[in-house]
Amino acid sequence: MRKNTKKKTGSIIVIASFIFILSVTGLLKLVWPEQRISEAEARTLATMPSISGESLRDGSFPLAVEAYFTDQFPLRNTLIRFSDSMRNMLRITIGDDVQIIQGNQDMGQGDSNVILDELPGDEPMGVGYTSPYVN
Amino acid sequence: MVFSSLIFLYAFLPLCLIFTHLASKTRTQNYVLLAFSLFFYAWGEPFWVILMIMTGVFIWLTGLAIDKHRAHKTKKKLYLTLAIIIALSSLAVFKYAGFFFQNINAVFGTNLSIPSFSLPIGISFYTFQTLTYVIDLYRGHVKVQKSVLNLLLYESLFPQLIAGPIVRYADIDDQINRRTISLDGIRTGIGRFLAGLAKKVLIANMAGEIVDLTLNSGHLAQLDGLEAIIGILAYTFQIYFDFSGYSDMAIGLGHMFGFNFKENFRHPYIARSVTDFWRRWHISLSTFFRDYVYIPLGGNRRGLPVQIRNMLIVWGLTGLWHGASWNFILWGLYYFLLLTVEKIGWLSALERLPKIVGHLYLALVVIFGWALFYFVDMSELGIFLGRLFVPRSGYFGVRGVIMLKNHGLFLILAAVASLPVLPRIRAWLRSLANRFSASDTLIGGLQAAFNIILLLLSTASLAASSFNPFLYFRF
Repeated sequence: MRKNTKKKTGSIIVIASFIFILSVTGLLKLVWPEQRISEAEARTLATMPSISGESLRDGSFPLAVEAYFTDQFPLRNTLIRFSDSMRNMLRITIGDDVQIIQGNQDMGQGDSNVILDELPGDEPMGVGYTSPYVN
Repeated sequence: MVFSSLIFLYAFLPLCLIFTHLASKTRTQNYVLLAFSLFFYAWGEPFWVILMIMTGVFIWLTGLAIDKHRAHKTKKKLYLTLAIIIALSSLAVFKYAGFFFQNINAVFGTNLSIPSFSLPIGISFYTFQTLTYVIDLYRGHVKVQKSVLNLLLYESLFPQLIAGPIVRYADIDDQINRRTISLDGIRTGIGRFLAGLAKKVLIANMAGEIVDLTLNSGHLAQLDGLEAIIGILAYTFQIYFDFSGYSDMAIGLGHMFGFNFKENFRHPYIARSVTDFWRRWHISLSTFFRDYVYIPLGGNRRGLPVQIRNMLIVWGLTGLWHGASWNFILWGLYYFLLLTVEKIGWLSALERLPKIVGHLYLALVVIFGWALFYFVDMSELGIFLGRLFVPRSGYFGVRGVIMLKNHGLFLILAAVASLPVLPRIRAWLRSLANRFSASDTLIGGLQAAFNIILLLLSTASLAASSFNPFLYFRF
């Protein structure tokens, strides 16, 4: 009986912490001060879209709400920096003696320059990949 | 709405969990779950949610008719045929009509206008699910579902609605009316859901970025050999972690609401033959085709030629199920050939060879298979295979080496994660906890901490997914 109570306590800790974090973050989102622009991205962040029959029918309203929710998520910039450092940990950087230059930019920084149209692994961050298996 | 979105995690899921568990009766929980599931679907498909509801209502009506005429074989069969035709017709119209007319035009030189419907999300999954209900009802394996709301709940239950697994009605028939939601079940579900979320967000999406840099980069013809290898390896991991991650999330969510869905993946990349691979990959689809197509056609009971014909039908359909395009049919037939070769002797030869031979063989044929699966455009497939086998600039071009340096570690970690490492670590931790008589309170605390870490990492990655930096910021 005592063991069962202990087992129950362990489960309660796991469940309560999970629900607590999801709910509190969701509530925080409601009161979090909204940002108008992102300096790092030089763009206006999404605002809460207005609802209309047309935007509901063509599905643009839910998409706009998702964009708003993500853009105005509490501590978004901190989370992005955290994600960046996490990604860099998984990446072994190339040696200092190799410099990669995009397109036809002027070189002149040593003999070991490499011209590429795009920088492999240096493109903008992920763009919310959809599942290859949905449907 | 997808599971791997912030709005699902921090708005939909907590609300759904709280409202469902506030209801004490299973019946009330079902109503709440149905309302949330329809909202979940309508969020992404505000129009086609009507099609899904209509399909469910139609299947429910034909189910009632089959049950009413259960003693009358011809009528019963007539209603089953009607249900199958109508259900598959909507799939045919929305998924295959464009492909069909395109090929008619190409073969006969006609100029028929090609219908272009937007494909309703999850249509292949919910169509097959509803078919399992009417077919099993016809066979007498399940009882008729008298409540249309319960049948709609089965069809639209949001955990498995968009990307499976294909849950058979027989498997959750009892759970719809009577299910036990235990604290232990919810705890297991949370762990499973977060593991799936991490697989999708942290591994599959990152692998997807490598795929975009190589296979989808627009410079396919310029790939060097190493880049081509890295690209297809990344896709091999992307598709596994993406799909199995979704299945894990579905199974985990099911636990949270008291449903037990069957496993859909069992570490397929550790298989040593294609036969074994298909017992581990998308199990709910392969068993669907086995039980509802292959065996009714006679299976292996009518001699080898009939068995091979049946396999050809099943694998042609398996390919076509994945998409209306020749590359998917080719991919299905590729597996038909491999399975046939294994059946007529290669499998028993493989079993006698050292295990490593089987692993290498499986890895090579599966990775090659993903190339057939990835390239919808056959000319692109040709270019890619050319770069893979006869690279113009050799195997170790500058781009390939840089890709390897940038992403090699990630690919190694992804390969390790595709092995059954986590279950072994979990078993080891459990034995460690038993040896030191650790209390469940302590274990629960550690598990909660681990869950929070996974949630934080996934949230950070999802928040960054909308990050679109201004180019000069990078310099």
